[in-house]
Parts: sequence; C-alpha cells; structure tokens
Amino acid sequence: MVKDRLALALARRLARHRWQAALSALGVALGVGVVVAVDLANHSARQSFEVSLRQIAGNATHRVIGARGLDERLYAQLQRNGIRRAAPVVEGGVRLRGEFFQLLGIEPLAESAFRGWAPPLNSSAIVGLLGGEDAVLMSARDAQRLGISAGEDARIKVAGAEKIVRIAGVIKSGAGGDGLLLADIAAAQRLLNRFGELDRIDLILNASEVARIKELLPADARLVVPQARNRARAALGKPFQTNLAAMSLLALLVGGFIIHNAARFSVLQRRELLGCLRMLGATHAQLFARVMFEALALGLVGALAGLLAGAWLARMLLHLVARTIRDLYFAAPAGELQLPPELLAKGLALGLALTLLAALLPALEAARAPPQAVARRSLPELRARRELPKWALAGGVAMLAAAALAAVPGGGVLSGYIALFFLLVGFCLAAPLLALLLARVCAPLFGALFGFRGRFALRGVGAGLSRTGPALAALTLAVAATIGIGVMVESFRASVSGWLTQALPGDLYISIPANSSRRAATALPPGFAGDVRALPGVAAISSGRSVEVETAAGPAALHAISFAPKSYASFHFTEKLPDLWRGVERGEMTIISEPYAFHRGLRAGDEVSLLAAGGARAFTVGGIFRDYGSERGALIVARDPYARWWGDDAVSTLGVYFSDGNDAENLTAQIKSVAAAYDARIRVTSNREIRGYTLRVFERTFAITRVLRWLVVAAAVLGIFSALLALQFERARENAVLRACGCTRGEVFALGALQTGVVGLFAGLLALPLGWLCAQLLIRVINPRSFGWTLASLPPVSTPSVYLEALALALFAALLAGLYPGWRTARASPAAALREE
Amino acid sequence: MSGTPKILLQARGVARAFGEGARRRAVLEQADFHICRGEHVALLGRSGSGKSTLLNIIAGIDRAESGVITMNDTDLARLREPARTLFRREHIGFVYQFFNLLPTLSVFDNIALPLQLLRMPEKEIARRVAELLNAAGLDARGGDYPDQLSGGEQQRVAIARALAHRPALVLADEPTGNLDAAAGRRALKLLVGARDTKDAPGLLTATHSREVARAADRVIVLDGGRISDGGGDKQEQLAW
Repeated sequence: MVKDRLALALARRLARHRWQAALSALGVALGVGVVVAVDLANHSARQSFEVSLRQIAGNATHRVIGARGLDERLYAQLQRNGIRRAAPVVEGGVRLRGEFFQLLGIEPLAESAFRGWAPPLNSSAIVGLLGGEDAVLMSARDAQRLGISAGEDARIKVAGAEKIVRIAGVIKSGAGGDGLLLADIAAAQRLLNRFGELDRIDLILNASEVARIKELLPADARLVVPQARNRARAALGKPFQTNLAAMSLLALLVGGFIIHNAARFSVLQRRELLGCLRMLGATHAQLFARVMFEALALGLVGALAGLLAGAWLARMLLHLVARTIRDLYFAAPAGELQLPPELLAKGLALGLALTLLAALLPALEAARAPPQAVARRSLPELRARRELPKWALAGGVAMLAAAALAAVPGGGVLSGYIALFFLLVGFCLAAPLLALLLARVCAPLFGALFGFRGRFALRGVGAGLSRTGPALAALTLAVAATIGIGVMVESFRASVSGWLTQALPGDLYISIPANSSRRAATALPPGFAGDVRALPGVAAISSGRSVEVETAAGPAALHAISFAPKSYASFHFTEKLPDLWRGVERGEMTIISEPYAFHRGLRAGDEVSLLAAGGARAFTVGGIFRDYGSERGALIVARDPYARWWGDDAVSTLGVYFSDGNDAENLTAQIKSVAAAYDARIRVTSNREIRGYTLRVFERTFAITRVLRWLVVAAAVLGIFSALLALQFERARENAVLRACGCTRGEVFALGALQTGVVGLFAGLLALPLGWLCAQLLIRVINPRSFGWTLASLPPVSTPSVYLEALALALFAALLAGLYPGWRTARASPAAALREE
Repeated sequence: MSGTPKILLQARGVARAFGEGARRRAVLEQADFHICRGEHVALLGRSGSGKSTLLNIIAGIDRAESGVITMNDTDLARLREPARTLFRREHIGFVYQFFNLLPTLSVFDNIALPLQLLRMPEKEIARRVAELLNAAGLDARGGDYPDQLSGGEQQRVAIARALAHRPALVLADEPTGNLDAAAGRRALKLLVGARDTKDAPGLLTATHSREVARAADRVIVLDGGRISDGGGDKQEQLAW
C-alpha cells in the first residue's frame, strides 16, 4: 500500500491532540444522538398508536357508526339482508393493575375475517372466551409484563367501579393485541353497562353492498371508511411530534457549531504545517480533500456513537412522548421501542452531512491559505476580523428572511420553523461581531473592575474570535433556545392559568371521572342534579353532557351545556357573531374552541354539520372561544336542543355556584354526602383542585421539552469546553510568558476564568434578545400554526427569572467548561511551553 | 566597576536531566558559577547544551534536581513554587530569542504588565513605560500590537518589558539570535545600556554570538553539562 505522506503529516499532528478529535466526535455524537432518539421515540409512539388503531379496525373496508352508538338489533338486520361480513364492536376504557386497556367486545364467530390477530375459531382461547362469564383475552406480552397467567381472575376498573374478569387465555406473542382486553360482545356490554348497545359495526363490503347498505341504515347511522378516520386521528399528534423533531434538530445545529469550531481550530493549529506542505508543492485540492476526509472520519465515528446513544436515549424519551400523547390526544399503549434501519440510516446521513458542511469553510481556509501567510497567527485573526461585517450582513439578511416568513399570513408550520432556523443562524453569524462590539463597550467597565486583567480578558476574547467565535455562537444559540422555550412555557402557563380562572366560574364541579365508553362521558344518576340544586346555599347550577359526535370530517367532542348566569362570562371569544347566545339557546348556533376552528379551518359564520338522532343537523359557528383544555378542540351547543335532537337528556357534569356569604366548606361537605348517597364514584371537585390538576398535566406535557432543552445546553457546554481546551493549548506560550513575568498559577487560572467568564457573559447577553425573538416566533407564529392556540405574549419584565437564569446558565456553563482547561493552564510547566520553540 | 564586587547570584552543583523515552539525558551535571551585582556575564555553549534550561532554573520556571542557587541570600532551590513566582516577579527579568510578547496586549501594555503585577500605581506605570519606550526608540508605537512591529522592534519591546520593574537580574536567552545584525546591535545596546543606570541589574546572556559575548564583562562556558566558574579569562573563553 502506498503511504499517503501528506495525510500522515496532517493526521499525526491531529493524533497528538486526540482529546480535540474526541470532543468533536462527541459533538457529532450528541447532536446525532438527540435527533435519532427523538426520531425513534416519535416513530415508536406513532407506530404503537397506529398499530393499536389498525388492530382494532382490522380488515374492515367500512364501518357503521351512529349518532349515539347503535342498537344491537341493527347487526341482526344487516345479516338478515345478506350483509354477511359484518362484525359488531363495543369498546370502552378500563384499568387493569393501574394500566389503561381498551376493552374490545367482539362477536368471536364473526371475527376471523376482520382481525387476523384474533385467535382462530377452534382455539382453546376462543372456547374460553365463549364459555366463561366475563372472560377476556389479553396479549401474551401484556400478560407477561403484568405477571398474569391464563385461568387467573383479575380486577379491572370500569368507570371507577371494580369488576372481576377471568383471563381466559392469551393471544400468542407477536400476533398483536397489545393494550387490548378482548371479550365476547355480551360480556363487554355487561362489563361496560351498555346492554343492547354497539359502538360500531365493522364491515367488509363490495361496491354493490355499499349501495345496498345505505338503504338499510337508520337516519342516525352513517357508513364511513375507517382508514380515513384513523389517519385523521393519528395526524392529531403530528404537530407535537414535529415540535420535538425541531427541538432535536436544534441539538444537531449546536453539534454542527462544535464540529465547525473543532475543524477550524485544527486547521488554525496546523497552519504552519499546512504552509509548509504548500511550500513543498501540495495543491489546494489535495489539502482540501484531506481536511474534509479527516472531518468525515471523525463525523463517522461520532455519528455511529450517536446512533448507539440515540437508541439508549430513545428508551427514556419514549415513555415521555407516549405520556404526553396520552395527556394531549388519545389513550394509546406505550409500546416498545423500535429501531427501523431507515431512521438509523437517516441519523447517520444527517451526522455526516452536517460534519461535511461544518468542515467546508475550515477546509477551504486550509486549502486557500498562501504558504507565506500560514505561519503568521495574526493573519487568520485579522482575516476573521475583516470578515466579521460580511458575516454579520449575511446574518442580517437571514434574520430579515425570518421576519418575512413569519409575517406571511396563513403560512404553514414548516415556514414557521424555517423562520426560526433563519433567525437562529442569522443571529449566530452576527454574534462574533456583536461580541467584539460588546468587548469594546465593556472595556472601561472591566478595566475599572478588574484592572489590566479585565482588559486582558476582553482583548483575549476579541483577539481569539476566529477560535472562540463558533463556540460563543453555539452557546448563544443554546441559551437563547432555553430563553425562547422558557418564555413560551411561561406564556403558555399564564394563558392556561388565566383561562382556567375564567373558564371555571363555578365553585364546584361534579362528574364521574372514568368513562366506560369512548363516545360519551358517564352520566350522573337521574335526580342528582335536582337534589344538588335544592340544597340551601346553592345559587345556581350549570349542567353539561359530553359526547363524541360525528361530523363530516370525523368524530368531534361535543359539550351540551345548560348555562348558569355566570357561565356566559367564562368564554373569551376571538371572534363571534352578534346575538350569539340567543342563537345558541335556540339551537341554531354552536360555539367552537380555537383548536377546533384551527384544525377544521372554520371561522365565525361558517356552518358545521353534526350527526344527530334524526340525521345530519347544521349549526352556524356563532363564535370561536379560547380553550386550552383539548388540543383536538370541541364544540359547544345548548343542552335543551341537544337533548331534543339527540334524544339524550343525561347529564355528565354539573357546575355548582354558591350563594354569596355561604360557608363553602360546609356546603361542599353536604354536596359530597348527597353524591355519596347516589353513587360512590361521583367526584366532587373544587375549581381550585381542577386548576391544580390541569396545571400539573400542563407541566407534565412540557417534561420532554425540558429534557431536550437540557440536552441542547449540554451540547453547547461541550462545544464551549472543546473550544476553551483548544484555546488553552493555543495560548500555552502566552500563559508561559505570563508565568515567566511573575504571574502565579492562581493568577493565570483567575485570568483564564475571567476570559471564560467573558465568553459566557457575552453569550448570555447576546442570547437575551435572541431568546426573546425566539419566544415571539414560538408564541405568535409556531404555536398558532401548530396547534391553533393563541398565547399571551409576556414581556421580559413579567418573566425576569427566565432571562436571569439563562444569563446565569451561560456564565455557569462557560465557567464549568473552563475549569479543566484553566486548571491545565495553571499546572502547565512554563519552561516546557517556552521550550517548544 | 569600583570596590569589591558583591555577588548577586551564586550557583553550586546545579543538575538537571530530562526523560527521553525510557532514557534520561543529563543536560546539566555540575554547574558552578556566580554573577556579581551590575555584572554582565555571557553564557556560551553549543545548541542543546542546556543554556536555556539553566536560565529557566535561575528564573524559577524550571527546577534543578540538585544543587543550590542563591540570590540576594535567598536559596531559590528551597522556595516553593508560589514563592519562586513572587521572587521572579520582583527580582528577575527575562528576554527570549523569539520575543514572546503577548499578542493580545499592546506594546504599552506588554511593558506595563510586570509593573501591574507589582501593583504599581497607574501614573507611575505610565511614566516608567514612557521612559522605556523612549529608550527603545518606540515612543510612537505604544498603541500598536506586536504583530504590527518588525522583529527588531519586538525584541526591544521584550527587553523594555524585562527591564520595566528594575529587576536585580536580567536573563537573556539568545536575545539577538532571531535578528539581523543591525537590529541585533540595537537590541543589545538597549539591553546592555540598562547597566548604566543606578541599581544596574546583573545580566546573564545565553548566546552563540561572539559580538554579544564580547560586550559582556565575563564569559562562562557550558560544556558537557558543566560550568567551571574560574572567573576565567574572557579571551580564552571566547576562543572556545
């Protein structure tokens, strides 16, 4: 093999600084790791949800659904009319050993054509299912996880009530059925207290049957295509997952700065060597290719390590992602982590592409440097400083593009993220020039505070911008991201808290919390509302019924409310029609939540069609109100028209308003005793408790955001550590001179700490405006475009802690990163450093 | 010089070896010599003979493995590192072949640095730096940075920095080794000129240059790790 002496000459120098190579590989690993982890967790959660939808839908081509479920006699009627491939289903949520399961009631003899994973007809499991009372099947994986064996009895909770089921058998491993309890339809109806009711009838139909069946359906039933509905449901969680993916890309961006910094540094350190090679006749292309190859090799090592780290991190994130999806969107089993090769390949490709991109400029710099110039350290610095205005100008253009993208009315969420990317990158391009200006502005103050050491530290930052610039930009970016996200979360919290205060005007709320059906909340017992209203001290009650109704665009949450006088003021409308409430009371209008309007593209005055008992009924959108209760959104109609048109006068929620001057505690106790006399499952909750619970769920949904935020910061700390360590190497001679001039180790360390602190301080100061701008983009552009929520934008004076914490974080991160390099500097032998002439 | 010269620095049996892989190479084996107050001593020796190491040991930025170095009645070998640093800060100035100016400090600040380390008032610092800039012929260059100076100018700044705090001993390691003849002469003039002042410092110059050595009061030779301090004949030593 021919020895490539050119590559060897460059590589040996790099090998002497293994830590530097290791740190840049670690930068790639961290960036790739976070992206891959989020990708895998998102994918696994989505897969788990889609599998759960698919396994429930099975091979059905069509599905019959009703305005309030279906009468089970419809199934028999369809069969009598020659629709043979039909499978009735009743479903509801239950809890088994604290875990959520979907209880799926099926007709075992009709199942084989629909759900391939269901046990075959001649299996012992089916025999057990048909033979035993309240017998259920569960997946082998769930049974093993929960330590349940076939033949055992298990306690389940249905709408808060405890019931016993027998585990008749397990569905063999790998066949499906995770998160499900499968029961005979009669047993499921019994367990869910839904005698004679079906949720749907799954069908496999050909074209002629489709035409025929429509004639057979009653007015309150519809024939729908399940795949389209499933797609629409699965799409609901997408904005959340897109947000996570965008955050993970931020970590990758920070990783990119680390690589850029390391590549640039390694070129600067080897400038004499490069100059020498050019003198000996090495061409631009040869040097360029070798520097790029070197970066690629490091990128490959880092990206491979990142894949391993990502798979490890994804296991932890999956739990957080699945929980947030459950909190925000729908109940789905947590699922297992999957490692699809295409996602791993994508992570690897991203890491390599980023490495090459980040190394491009340093490689060009290495290749273009004139031989006589490479040996002078001042030249790269002077050139870097000369180029600062150009970079700043490019940054300014990028930020203007960000503003333009953000301002485009009706722009999508993707353009919002592109605007955020432009803003971050644009600001980072301008950051070194801004840091230089800051250094000039701060010079008198630093001189007054720290004497020559202060001036020395400031000049050091200015003089080393070609080395510290990218690390400073990376730290600025990470800290700005923490500010942006912090302010966004604070604004969100303030919006939700304000909304809760307004939206819960009642003193107490009463409901049965657990639902046995996905379609409708569990009804309160008849007569209970009247008894509560009759209690002395109760000024008024509002009552509500929460159900899932069919619309042309799929199922939607509908709340039918009988308003109390104070209820009207609890709505804050973003737009509304005149005479709104009269229209609502008459049953002509509905009011819809902001997310619902956003997802369906509705405005006040538009029309929505809801499937009622007598067929489709049109409502005018009378107003759009702010609501942070559900990301899917909801519609509200008046209860009387609802009861009339849906034939449902049940009440599932009561709001109780106390008369002024009442002993609230005493009255609450009375209401609780009335509730207990009716049904132990009734929950009486004060509005304060609901607020507390809602805010707890709110905090939980941001848990993963916080984790990602810290990962981004960790990447930035790594970047700044790498830069400072390299700088320490670079300044070994200067420090030795300082020591030779009489500076003690402590003084050299303190000087290094001061310099590091300046880098952190400047990154923190620059991150303040950038963080504020990021927050504005997140609050005013990305959130409304992702979720349809309007958030209150809090001014910095309302969230000083976010900004101060970020500033402290930047300082702390830089000082922490500078600790080891500073220690090494102070310990280094000046004689050795001076000998290296 | 008049009267009996007082000894400023006395070295006895100074030894130092460096590890080279598994082997150890003795650079200094038995260095015995002295420098009197205000005396200029030239230290001659081949490349790699240990001249820089000896200067580093005297400055306290390296340590002898054995031997005694006393200066102003202080045994430098017995001092712990922080004390050595503080001693150096006050009593020693160092001039290097490759100048070793701090690129992030202006010419003025480079010269002012040792004075600031000694916590001298700013006014006094300004006065003294102005004096030194004038002596170095660099009055107008105080605001410039080292990169903007020629090699000769950089070395004069380095010499000014070494003299700024009026040390008792100035160590110069090949001070003209990186300069052309004219620039070297100018730098040497500045360095040797310091001896014309009151409280003239002792000067130990490690050099290859006969011209530098000729400017010295006395010449000592480092050969095979040994210096024999016989106060020997300058011409004889120069012939070495």
